[in-house]
Amino acid sequence: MMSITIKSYGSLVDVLGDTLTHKATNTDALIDDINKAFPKLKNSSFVIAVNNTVIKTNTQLKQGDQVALMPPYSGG
Amino acid sequence: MKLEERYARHYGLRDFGPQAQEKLQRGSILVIGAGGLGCPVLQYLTASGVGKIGIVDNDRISLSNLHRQILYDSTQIGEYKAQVASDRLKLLNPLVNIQTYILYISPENAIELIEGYDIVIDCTDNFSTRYLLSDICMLLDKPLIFGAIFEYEGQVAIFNKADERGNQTTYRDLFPTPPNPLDSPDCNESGVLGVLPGVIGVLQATEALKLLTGVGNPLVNKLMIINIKDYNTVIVDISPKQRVSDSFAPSSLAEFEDFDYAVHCGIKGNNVPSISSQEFLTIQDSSKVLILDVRNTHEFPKLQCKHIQIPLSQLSDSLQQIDKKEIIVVCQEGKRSQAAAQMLTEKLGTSYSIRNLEGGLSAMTL
Repeated sequence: MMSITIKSYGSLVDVLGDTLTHKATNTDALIDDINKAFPKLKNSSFVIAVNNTVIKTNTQLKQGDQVALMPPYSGG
Repeated sequence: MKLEERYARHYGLRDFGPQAQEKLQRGSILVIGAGGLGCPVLQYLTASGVGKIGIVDNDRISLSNLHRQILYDSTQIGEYKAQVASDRLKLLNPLVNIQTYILYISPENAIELIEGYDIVIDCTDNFSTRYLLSDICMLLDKPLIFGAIFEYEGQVAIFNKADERGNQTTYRDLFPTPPNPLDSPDCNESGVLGVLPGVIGVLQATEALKLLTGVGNPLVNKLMIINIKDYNTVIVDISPKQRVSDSFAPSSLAEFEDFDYAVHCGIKGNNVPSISSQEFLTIQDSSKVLILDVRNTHEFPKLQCKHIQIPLSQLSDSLQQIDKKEIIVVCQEGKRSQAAAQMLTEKLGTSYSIRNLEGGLSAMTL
Protein backbone atom coordinates (compact mmCIF):
# COMPACT_ATOMS: atom_id res chain seq x y z
CA MET A 1 0.00 0.00 0.00
CA MET A 2 1.05 3.53 -0.75
CA SER A 3 2.07 5.88 2.01
CA ILE A 4 0.26 9.20 1.56
CA THR A 5 0.86 12.50 3.34
CA ILE A 6 -2.29 14.32 4.37
CA LYS A 7 -2.20 18.04 5.13
CA SER A 8 -5.18 19.63 6.87
CA TYR A 9 -6.37 23.21 6.80
CA GLY A 10 -8.68 25.41 8.84
CA SER A 11 -10.79 23.77 11.51
CA LEU A 12 -9.82 20.30 10.25
CA VAL A 13 -6.46 20.76 12.00
CA ASP A 14 -8.34 20.54 15.34
CA VAL A 15 -9.51 17.04 14.40
CA LEU A 16 -6.71 15.60 12.27
CA GLY A 17 -3.68 17.58 13.34
CA ASP A 18 -1.53 19.53 10.92
CA THR A 19 -0.24 16.57 8.89
CA LEU A 20 -0.54 12.80 9.09
CA THR A 21 0.53 9.90 6.95
CA HIS A 22 -1.70 7.02 5.96
CA LYS A 23 -1.63 4.07 3.60
CA ALA A 24 -4.29 3.99 0.91
CA THR A 25 -4.62 3.19 -2.80
CA ASN A 26 -7.27 5.76 -3.70
CA THR A 27 -8.92 8.87 -2.28
CA ASP A 28 -12.27 7.23 -1.49
CA ALA A 29 -10.56 4.59 0.64
CA LEU A 30 -8.39 7.24 2.26
CA ILE A 31 -11.36 9.41 3.26
CA ASP A 32 -13.26 6.35 4.44
CA ASP A 33 -10.37 5.35 6.71
CA ILE A 34 -9.96 8.86 8.08
CA ASN A 35 -13.68 9.13 8.81
CA LYS A 36 -13.48 5.88 10.78
CA ALA A 37 -10.36 6.92 12.68
CA PHE A 38 -11.66 10.42 13.39
CA PRO A 39 -15.45 10.23 13.96
CA LYS A 40 -15.57 13.96 14.67
CA LEU A 41 -14.87 14.52 10.99
CA LYS A 42 -18.16 12.96 9.91
CA ASN A 43 -20.15 16.09 8.97
CA SER A 44 -17.23 18.26 7.92
CA SER A 45 -17.23 19.89 4.52
CA PHE A 46 -13.93 19.98 2.67
CA VAL A 47 -12.41 19.82 -0.79
CA ILE A 48 -9.67 17.29 -1.58
CA ALA A 49 -6.56 18.14 -3.58
CA VAL A 50 -4.04 15.55 -4.74
CA ASN A 51 -0.61 16.97 -5.52
CA ASN A 52 -2.07 20.50 -5.66
CA THR A 53 -4.97 19.71 -7.98
CA VAL A 54 -8.54 19.67 -6.71
CA ILE A 55 -10.22 16.34 -7.41
CA LYS A 56 -13.94 15.61 -7.58
CA THR A 57 -14.04 11.89 -8.20
CA ASN A 58 -12.21 8.91 -6.72
CA THR A 59 -8.53 9.21 -7.65
CA GLN A 60 -5.77 6.60 -7.58
CA LEU A 61 -2.91 7.40 -5.23
CA LYS A 62 0.75 6.52 -5.56
CA GLN A 63 3.61 6.39 -3.10
CA GLY A 64 4.51 9.83 -1.77
CA ASP A 65 1.38 11.63 -3.02
CA GLN A 66 0.36 14.73 -1.10
CA VAL A 67 -3.31 15.03 -0.21
CA ALA A 68 -4.71 18.32 1.08
CA LEU A 69 -8.06 18.60 2.87
CA MET A 70 -9.39 22.15 2.68
CA PRO A 71 -12.63 23.30 4.33
CA PRO A 72 -14.57 26.39 3.27
CA TYR A 73 -13.94 29.60 5.24
CA SER A 74 -16.64 32.21 5.59
CA GLY A 75 -14.87 34.94 7.54
CA GLY A 76 -14.21 38.33 6.04
CA MET B 1 0.43 67.33 -14.53
CA LYS B 2 -1.10 66.13 -11.24
CA LEU B 3 -2.18 62.78 -12.65
CA GLU B 4 1.38 61.94 -13.57
CA GLU B 5 2.55 62.93 -10.13
CA ARG B 6 -0.11 60.93 -8.30
CA TYR B 7 0.63 57.78 -10.26
CA ALA B 8 4.36 58.47 -10.83
CA ARG B 9 5.44 55.16 -9.27
CA HIS B 10 3.01 53.28 -11.51
CA TYR B 11 4.09 55.26 -14.57
CA GLY B 12 7.71 54.44 -13.86
CA LEU B 13 7.11 50.77 -13.08
CA ARG B 14 8.51 48.26 -15.55
CA ASP B 15 5.75 46.31 -17.38
CA PHE B 16 3.15 48.75 -16.01
CA GLY B 17 3.50 52.38 -17.08
CA PRO B 18 0.84 54.82 -18.35
CA GLN B 19 -0.81 52.13 -20.48
CA ALA B 20 -1.66 49.93 -17.50
CA GLN B 21 -2.65 53.00 -15.48
CA GLU B 22 -5.10 53.96 -18.20
CA LYS B 23 -6.63 50.48 -18.05
CA LEU B 24 -7.16 50.93 -14.30
CA GLN B 25 -8.85 54.28 -14.93
CA ARG B 26 -11.21 52.69 -17.46
CA GLY B 27 -12.01 49.83 -15.05
CA SER B 28 -14.84 49.45 -12.58
CA ILE B 29 -14.99 47.20 -9.54
CA LEU B 30 -17.82 46.37 -7.16
CA VAL B 31 -16.68 45.50 -3.62
CA ILE B 32 -19.21 43.50 -1.59
CA GLY B 33 -18.54 44.05 2.10
CA ALA B 34 -16.60 46.90 3.69
CA GLY B 35 -15.29 44.94 6.67
CA GLY B 36 -11.94 43.29 7.33
CA LEU B 37 -11.28 42.29 3.72
CA GLY B 38 -13.14 45.21 2.18
CA CYS B 39 -11.13 47.94 3.95
CA PRO B 40 -7.72 47.13 2.42
CA VAL B 41 -9.30 46.22 -0.93
CA LEU B 42 -11.06 49.58 -1.10
CA GLN B 43 -8.05 51.56 0.07
CA TYR B 44 -5.59 50.09 -2.41
CA LEU B 45 -7.98 50.10 -5.37
CA THR B 46 -8.83 53.74 -4.69
CA ALA B 47 -5.20 54.73 -4.19
CA SER B 48 -4.27 52.87 -7.38
CA GLY B 49 -6.73 54.88 -9.45
CA VAL B 50 -9.39 52.37 -10.54
CA GLY B 51 -11.98 54.44 -12.45
CA LYS B 52 -15.15 53.46 -10.62
CA ILE B 53 -15.51 51.61 -7.32
CA GLY B 54 -18.81 50.53 -5.78
CA ILE B 55 -19.12 49.77 -2.05
CA VAL B 56 -21.96 47.51 -0.90
CA ASP B 57 -22.43 47.18 2.86
CA ASN B 58 -25.34 47.57 5.23
CA ASP B 59 -23.47 47.20 8.53
CA ARG B 60 -22.59 49.84 11.05
CA ILE B 61 -19.16 50.21 12.66
CA SER B 62 -18.74 48.54 16.04
CA LEU B 63 -15.85 48.70 18.48
CA SER B 64 -14.82 45.08 17.87
CA ASN B 65 -14.36 45.89 14.16
CA LEU B 66 -11.56 48.37 14.76
CA HIS B 67 -8.72 45.91 15.36
CA ARG B 68 -8.86 44.99 11.67
CA GLN B 69 -11.17 47.35 9.77
CA ILE B 70 -8.67 50.12 9.30
CA LEU B 71 -10.81 52.62 7.39
CA TYR B 72 -12.71 53.41 10.59
CA ASP B 73 -11.91 55.10 13.88
CA SER B 74 -13.17 55.17 17.45
CA THR B 75 -15.35 58.26 16.89
CA GLN B 76 -17.39 56.52 14.18
CA ILE B 77 -18.99 53.68 16.16
CA GLY B 78 -22.57 53.19 14.97
CA GLU B 79 -22.10 54.89 11.61
CA TYR B 80 -22.65 53.08 8.30
CA LYS B 81 -19.42 51.50 7.07
CA ALA B 82 -20.20 52.14 3.40
CA GLN B 83 -20.75 55.85 4.06
CA VAL B 84 -17.66 56.35 6.24
CA ALA B 85 -15.55 54.34 3.79
CA SER B 86 -16.86 56.38 0.87
CA ASP B 87 -16.05 59.69 2.61
CA ARG B 88 -12.52 58.52 3.45
CA LEU B 89 -11.84 57.14 -0.01
CA LYS B 90 -12.98 60.33 -1.77
CA LEU B 91 -10.36 62.21 0.25
CA LEU B 92 -7.73 59.60 -0.56
CA ASN B 93 -8.31 59.93 -4.31
CA PRO B 94 -10.88 62.41 -5.65
CA LEU B 95 -10.26 61.14 -9.19
CA VAL B 96 -12.06 57.87 -8.44
CA ASN B 97 -15.82 57.65 -8.94
CA ILE B 98 -16.98 56.12 -5.64
CA GLN B 99 -20.51 54.70 -5.53
CA THR B 100 -22.05 53.96 -2.14
CA TYR B 101 -24.74 51.31 -1.66
CA ILE B 102 -25.96 51.06 1.94
CA LEU B 103 -27.85 47.79 1.55
CA TYR B 104 -27.54 44.02 1.80
CA ILE B 105 -26.98 42.41 -1.56
CA SER B 106 -29.87 40.06 -2.35
CA PRO B 107 -31.33 38.23 -5.35
CA GLU B 108 -33.68 41.19 -5.80
CA ASN B 109 -30.94 43.82 -6.22
CA ALA B 110 -27.82 41.85 -7.22
CA ILE B 111 -28.35 41.85 -10.99
CA GLU B 112 -28.80 45.60 -11.24
CA LEU B 113 -25.85 46.24 -8.91
CA ILE B 114 -23.38 43.94 -10.63
CA GLU B 115 -24.28 44.65 -14.25
CA GLY B 116 -22.64 48.07 -14.11
CA TYR B 117 -19.19 46.77 -13.10
CA ASP B 118 -16.33 44.86 -14.76
CA ILE B 119 -15.25 42.85 -11.71
CA VAL B 120 -16.82 41.82 -8.39
CA ILE B 121 -14.79 41.30 -5.21
CA ASP B 122 -16.21 39.04 -2.50
CA CYS B 123 -15.29 40.58 0.87
CA THR B 124 -18.30 39.16 2.69
CA ASP B 125 -18.39 37.21 5.95
CA ASN B 126 -21.07 34.60 5.37
CA PHE B 127 -21.75 31.61 3.14
CA SER B 128 -25.16 32.68 1.88
CA THR B 129 -23.74 35.84 0.28
CA ARG B 130 -20.71 33.95 -1.04
CA TYR B 131 -22.96 31.44 -2.84
CA LEU B 132 -25.19 34.27 -4.07
CA LEU B 133 -22.16 36.09 -5.54
CA SER B 134 -20.76 32.93 -7.11
CA ASP B 135 -24.09 32.15 -8.80
CA ILE B 136 -24.86 35.64 -10.08
CA CYS B 137 -21.31 36.24 -11.31
CA MET B 138 -21.55 33.00 -13.28
CA LEU B 139 -24.93 33.95 -14.73
CA LEU B 140 -23.74 37.47 -15.65
CA ASP B 141 -20.26 36.26 -16.68
CA LYS B 142 -18.45 38.65 -14.33
CA PRO B 143 -15.03 37.77 -12.90
CA LEU B 144 -15.27 37.24 -9.14
CA ILE B 145 -12.29 37.71 -6.84
CA PHE B 146 -12.92 35.57 -3.80
CA GLY B 147 -11.30 36.02 -0.39
CA ALA B 148 -12.12 34.37 2.94
CA ILE B 149 -10.43 34.04 6.31
CA PHE B 150 -10.35 31.71 9.31
CA GLU B 151 -8.26 32.42 12.41
CA TYR B 152 -4.72 32.55 10.93
CA GLU B 153 -5.51 31.28 7.41
CA GLY B 154 -6.87 32.90 4.29
CA GLN B 155 -8.14 31.75 0.89
CA VAL B 156 -7.96 33.69 -2.38
CA ALA B 157 -9.24 32.65 -5.81
CA ILE B 158 -10.57 34.07 -9.07
CA PHE B 159 -13.76 32.57 -10.51
CA ASN B 160 -15.72 33.17 -13.74
CA LYS B 161 -12.67 34.17 -15.69
CA ALA B 162 -11.53 32.03 -18.61
CA ASP B 163 -7.98 30.68 -18.41
CA GLU B 164 -5.80 30.19 -21.50
CA ARG B 165 -7.70 26.99 -22.33
CA GLY B 166 -11.06 28.74 -22.07
CA ASN B 167 -12.00 27.03 -18.79
CA GLN B 168 -14.00 28.90 -16.18
CA THR B 169 -14.81 27.80 -12.65
CA THR B 170 -17.06 28.95 -9.83
CA TYR B 171 -16.99 28.66 -6.04
CA ARG B 172 -19.30 25.66 -6.50
CA ASP B 173 -16.49 23.84 -8.33
CA LEU B 174 -14.75 23.86 -4.96
CA PHE B 175 -17.72 23.52 -2.63
CA PRO B 176 -20.82 22.48 -4.64
CA THR B 177 -23.22 23.00 -1.76
CA PRO B 178 -23.02 25.08 1.41
CA PRO B 179 -21.67 23.39 4.55
CA ASN B 180 -24.04 22.37 7.30
CA PRO B 181 -24.34 25.50 9.48
CA LEU B 182 -24.10 23.32 12.59
CA ASP B 183 -20.60 22.26 11.58
CA SER B 184 -19.31 25.39 9.87
CA PRO B 185 -20.69 28.35 11.76
CA ASP B 186 -21.68 31.02 9.35
CA CYS B 187 -20.79 33.89 11.63
CA ASN B 188 -17.65 35.88 11.45
CA GLU B 189 -17.51 35.40 15.18
CA SER B 190 -14.53 33.28 15.99
CA GLY B 191 -11.25 35.00 16.61
CA VAL B 192 -9.09 36.35 13.82
CA LEU B 193 -5.66 37.95 13.91
CA GLY B 194 -6.26 41.59 13.01
CA VAL B 195 -3.69 41.69 10.22
CA LEU B 196 -5.02 38.57 8.45
CA PRO B 197 -7.84 40.27 6.48
CA GLY B 198 -5.24 42.93 5.66
CA VAL B 199 -2.97 40.32 4.06
CA ILE B 200 -5.80 38.56 2.21
CA GLY B 201 -7.53 41.80 1.19
CA VAL B 202 -4.31 43.17 -0.27
CA LEU B 203 -3.97 39.95 -2.28
CA GLN B 204 -7.53 40.37 -3.57
CA ALA B 205 -6.74 43.97 -4.56
CA THR B 206 -3.56 42.73 -6.25
CA GLU B 207 -5.54 40.20 -8.29
CA ALA B 208 -8.00 42.95 -9.29
CA LEU B 209 -5.16 45.16 -10.56
CA LYS B 210 -3.72 42.19 -12.47
CA LEU B 211 -7.07 41.37 -14.08
CA LEU B 212 -7.70 44.97 -15.13
CA THR B 213 -4.21 45.60 -16.51
CA GLY B 214 -3.19 42.17 -17.78
CA VAL B 215 0.07 42.46 -15.83
CA GLY B 216 1.27 39.25 -14.14
CA ASN B 217 -0.46 35.88 -13.70
CA PRO B 218 -3.70 36.13 -11.75
CA LEU B 219 -5.08 33.22 -9.69
CA VAL B 220 -7.61 32.21 -12.35
CA ASN B 221 -9.01 28.74 -11.54
CA LYS B 222 -6.59 28.47 -8.63
CA LEU B 223 -7.17 28.52 -4.89
CA MET B 224 -4.39 29.92 -2.75
CA ILE B 225 -4.31 29.23 0.98
CA ILE B 226 -1.92 31.12 3.21
CA ASN B 227 -1.25 30.47 6.88
CA ILE B 228 0.27 33.59 8.43
CA LYS B 229 1.62 31.70 11.43
CA ASP B 230 4.34 30.04 9.36
CA TYR B 231 3.70 31.42 5.83
CA ASN B 232 2.84 27.94 4.70
CA THR B 233 1.27 28.64 1.31
CA VAL B 234 -0.36 26.30 -1.18
CA ILE B 235 -1.88 26.98 -4.59
CA VAL B 236 -4.18 24.28 -5.97
CA ASP B 237 -5.69 24.03 -9.45
CA ILE B 238 -9.47 23.95 -9.78
CA SER B 239 -11.06 22.28 -12.78
CA PRO B 240 -14.56 22.90 -14.12
CA LYS B 241 -15.06 19.24 -15.02
CA GLN B 242 -18.31 18.67 -13.22
CA ARG B 243 -20.88 21.32 -13.93
CA VAL B 244 -23.00 22.68 -11.16
CA SER B 245 -26.23 21.11 -12.34
CA ASP B 246 -26.23 18.69 -9.42
CA SER B 247 -25.75 21.36 -6.81
CA PHE B 248 -29.19 23.00 -6.91
CA ALA B 249 -27.76 26.30 -8.08
CA PRO B 250 -30.07 28.62 -10.04
CA SER B 251 -29.48 28.12 -13.75
CA SER B 252 -31.09 31.31 -15.07
CA LEU B 253 -31.52 34.91 -13.93
CA ALA B 254 -35.23 34.26 -13.38
CA GLU B 255 -34.41 31.31 -11.10
CA PHE B 256 -31.76 33.38 -9.34
CA GLU B 257 -34.22 36.15 -8.52
CA ASP B 258 -36.50 33.64 -6.78
CA PHE B 259 -33.70 31.81 -4.97
CA ASP B 260 -33.64 31.91 -1.15
CA TYR B 261 -29.97 31.75 -0.11
CA ALA B 262 -30.74 31.66 3.60
CA VAL B 263 -32.75 28.46 3.11
CA HIS B 264 -30.12 27.10 0.70
CA CYS B 265 -27.45 27.61 3.37
CA GLY B 266 -29.62 26.11 6.09
CA ILE B 267 -29.76 29.25 8.20
CA LYS B 268 -33.47 29.77 7.68
CA GLY B 269 -36.20 27.21 7.34
CA ASN B 270 -38.29 26.67 10.40
CA ASN B 271 -39.58 29.70 12.14
CA VAL B 272 -37.56 29.66 15.32
CA PRO B 273 -39.05 32.23 17.71
CA SER B 274 -36.65 34.95 18.72
CA ILE B 275 -36.32 37.18 21.73
CA SER B 276 -35.11 40.78 21.62
CA SER B 277 -32.15 41.93 23.69
CA GLN B 278 -34.45 44.15 25.78
CA GLU B 279 -36.72 41.23 26.64
CA PHE B 280 -33.70 39.03 27.29
CA LEU B 281 -32.43 41.48 29.93
CA THR B 282 -35.73 41.28 31.79
CA ILE B 283 -35.91 37.48 32.00
CA GLN B 284 -32.27 36.38 31.98
CA ASP B 285 -32.24 35.87 35.76
CA SER B 286 -35.48 33.89 35.87
CA SER B 287 -34.93 30.48 37.48
CA LYS B 288 -37.36 28.90 34.98
CA VAL B 289 -35.23 29.81 32.00
CA LEU B 290 -32.17 27.94 30.77
CA ILE B 291 -29.71 30.26 29.03
CA LEU B 292 -27.67 28.20 26.58
CA ASP B 293 -24.50 29.75 25.14
CA VAL B 294 -23.48 27.87 21.97
CA ARG B 295 -20.26 29.80 21.33
CA ASN B 296 -16.86 28.22 21.69
CA THR B 297 -15.47 28.43 25.20
CA HIS B 298 -12.72 30.92 24.31
CA GLU B 299 -15.09 33.58 22.99
CA PHE B 300 -15.74 36.92 24.67
CA PRO B 301 -17.60 38.61 26.27
CA LYS B 302 -18.50 35.93 28.82
CA LEU B 303 -22.14 35.84 29.80
CA GLN B 304 -22.71 37.42 33.22
CA CYS B 305 -26.04 35.75 33.96
CA LYS B 306 -26.47 32.09 35.03
CA HIS B 307 -26.08 29.91 31.96
CA ILE B 308 -24.62 26.72 30.52
CA GLN B 309 -22.20 26.67 27.60
CA ILE B 310 -22.18 23.94 24.93
CA PRO B 311 -20.38 24.84 21.69
CA LEU B 312 -22.64 24.33 18.68
CA SER B 313 -20.48 21.54 17.28
CA GLN B 314 -21.02 19.47 20.47
CA LEU B 315 -24.65 20.33 21.05
CA SER B 316 -26.28 17.31 19.41
CA ASP B 317 -24.21 15.00 21.65
CA SER B 318 -24.95 16.96 24.84
CA LEU B 319 -28.74 17.15 24.98
CA GLN B 320 -28.78 15.50 28.41
CA GLN B 321 -27.44 18.75 29.88
CA ILE B 322 -30.70 20.51 29.03
CA ASP B 323 -32.74 20.38 32.22
CA LYS B 324 -35.41 23.05 31.71
CA LYS B 325 -38.34 23.38 29.36
CA GLU B 326 -37.79 27.03 28.58
CA ILE B 327 -34.57 27.69 26.72
CA ILE B 328 -32.97 30.80 25.27
CA VAL B 329 -30.06 30.11 22.94
CA VAL B 330 -27.39 32.80 22.54
CA CYS B 331 -24.23 33.35 20.51
CA GLN B 332 -22.26 36.33 19.25
CA GLU B 333 -24.34 37.46 16.28
CA GLY B 334 -27.47 35.34 16.52
CA LYS B 335 -26.75 33.01 13.61
CA ARG B 336 -25.26 30.00 15.36
CA SER B 337 -27.90 30.31 18.07
CA GLN B 338 -30.59 30.28 15.39
CA ALA B 339 -29.17 27.10 13.89
CA ALA B 340 -28.92 25.61 17.38
CA ALA B 341 -32.47 26.61 18.30
CA GLN B 342 -33.74 25.05 15.09
CA MET B 343 -31.90 21.82 15.79
CA LEU B 344 -33.09 21.72 19.42
CA THR B 345 -36.68 22.30 18.33
CA GLU B 346 -36.43 19.34 15.96
CA LYS B 347 -34.78 17.07 18.54
CA LEU B 348 -36.68 18.04 21.71
CA GLY B 349 -40.13 18.59 20.26
CA THR B 350 -42.87 21.09 20.90
CA SER B 351 -43.16 20.59 24.66
CA TYR B 352 -40.09 22.82 24.95
CA SER B 353 -40.12 26.59 24.48
CA ILE B 354 -36.94 27.37 22.55
CA ARG B 355 -36.04 30.90 21.51
CA ASN B 356 -33.08 32.54 19.85
CA LEU B 357 -31.52 35.79 21.12
CA GLU B 358 -31.93 37.98 18.06
CA GLY B 359 -28.70 39.64 16.92
CA GLY B 360 -26.76 37.77 19.62
CA LEU B 361 -24.66 39.38 22.32
CA SER B 362 -23.35 41.92 19.81
CA ALA B 363 -26.79 43.48 19.64
CA MET B 364 -26.74 43.95 23.41
CA THR B 365 -23.46 45.82 23.60
CA LEU B 366 -24.24 48.31 20.84
